[in-house]
Amino acid sequence: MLELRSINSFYGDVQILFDVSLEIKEGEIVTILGSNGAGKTSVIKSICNLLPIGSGEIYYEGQRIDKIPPYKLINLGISLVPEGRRLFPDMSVYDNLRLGGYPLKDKKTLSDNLEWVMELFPRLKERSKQLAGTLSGGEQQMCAIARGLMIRPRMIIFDEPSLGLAPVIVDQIFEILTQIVHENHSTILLVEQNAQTALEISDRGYVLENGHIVLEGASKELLESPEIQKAYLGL
Amino acid sequence: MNFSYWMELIMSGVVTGACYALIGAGLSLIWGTLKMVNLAHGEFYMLGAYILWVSLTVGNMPLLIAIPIAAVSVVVIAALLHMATIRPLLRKPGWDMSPWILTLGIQILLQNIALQVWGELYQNVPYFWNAIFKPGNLFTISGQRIIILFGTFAVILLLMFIIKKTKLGRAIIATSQDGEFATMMGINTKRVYLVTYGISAMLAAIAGVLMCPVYSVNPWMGTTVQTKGLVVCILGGLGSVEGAIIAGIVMGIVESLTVSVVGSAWRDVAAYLLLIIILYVRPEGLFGRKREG
Ligand SMILES: Nc1ncnc2c1ncn2[C@@H]1O[C@H](COP(=O)(O)OP(=O)(O)OP(=O)(O)O)[C@@H](O)[C@H]1O
Ligand SMILES: [Mg+2]
Repeated sequence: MLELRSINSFYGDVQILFDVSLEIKEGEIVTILGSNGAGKTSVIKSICNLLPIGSGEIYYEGQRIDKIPPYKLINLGISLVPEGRRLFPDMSVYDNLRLGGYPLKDKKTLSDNLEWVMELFPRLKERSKQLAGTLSGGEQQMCAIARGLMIRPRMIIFDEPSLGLAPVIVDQIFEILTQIVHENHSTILLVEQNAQTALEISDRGYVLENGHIVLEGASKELLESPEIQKAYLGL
Repeated sequence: MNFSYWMELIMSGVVTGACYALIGAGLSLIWGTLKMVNLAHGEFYMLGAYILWVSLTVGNMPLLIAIPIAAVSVVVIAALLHMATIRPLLRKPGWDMSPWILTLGIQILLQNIALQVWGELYQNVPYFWNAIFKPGNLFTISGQRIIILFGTFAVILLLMFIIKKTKLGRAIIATSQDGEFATMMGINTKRVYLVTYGISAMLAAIAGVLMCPVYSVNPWMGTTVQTKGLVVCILGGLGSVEGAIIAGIVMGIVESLTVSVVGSAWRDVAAYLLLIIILYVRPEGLFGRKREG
């Protein structure tokens, strides 16, 4: 469904990603692991063309997408739940969610989808009039995820959804992620540092180090692999 | 000094204030979305007035055609300037400085073009409506001032409707709060930048059109108005359109009262004093939001 063919990305003259290739098949959950500064967010920004790639190719459903402007991606059914949530802080929760459905032409679809995400996160329904910037961290993350779901995306990219959240909320959020896949047959690209949980819910994983993919495989195998256990699972 | 005297003073303040409000609202919109100060804003006001004057005198057009021509021409000029000069620099390295230099250059350029084309003589545009009213025999007000008040009111109402109730408005608000991420919501932010610049220029042009019969038309008429517009924009809270509108009206009234009570030399002193006092009490401006970090 999504394929990166040896992409190289730069911030100015500094190269950040080196020949990164990865593939995500329809219906899969794929996780990217890596320590701080490994380049995970840069991979995502490259996919979304927020960081135009220096070389390489990116395909989505057979179509080359590395040259199309970022605002058109959502029309292909790709949605991003970004690092640090990036809610519109001075807008209400409701307006944030409605903005997530910005490309939807049909009012009925918009209100159906609003109802659906509010069902997934009843907390947001209670707080729908509150300004997003005043939500708690966990609520903000729920709001960011709900906003990302508003178009019922076919492919959804999460950048560290569990960052800074209490374990209970992390479990809740991962549970909802798996539920979304099963209900909607969405495809998920998940960036995480919480390796244990991420590998448990995903099908395959890639390990990124200093901008290079150093390891890839089925999540089950990665969980068993000694390198991963040592570097990411603290075993 | 009776009731009608004060009433007329306040009305005259509100009329000047309406002009500041239109200029300030536009500057605030541009600040909010593009995060830049548009030093060429007063020149859109000036061009609006000149194009109206030319359409009326040279073109012999009826007012109801001349006004839209002035507004639309200024929007076209602003849009072309935006695409040719601002867009290529937007968010590029040096963006903290480049808009100041760029728009200052555009200001000087447009003033000198106006000077070359139309000369330095002050031109006059007749009142749109030559009537004098005495509502309830309490005070007198001219037809032109009534048109300024209602015109400004209608334009501001329309602007608020666009910002609060339309999809374009939501795109503008999202872009002003997080321009990079707004693109991931499917918002073409480049177009939002262009459209807000055009809307702001149109607000300035309409101000110029409405005010020029009261003042006069000359190449430098935009500079004072722009300075006041910037003051009003800061006073209202940078990026807050409502704030700029309210601050504009307040500023107009304060100036008008100052002129009559202590003399016209104190007009600008009062304006800046008001700015200093309000920023001392509320550094974020009347309607600005406090930001941490
Ligand atoms: N805008 C930028 N300009 C210059 N360098 C950047 C920029 N953004 C990121 N970098 C650098 O690129 C490298 C990779 O950053 P990236 O954000 O992709 O890491 P990450 O794997 O997402 O890390 P984290 O887990 O901390 O989010 C880092 O060394 C970072 O300092
Ligand atoms: Mg990151």
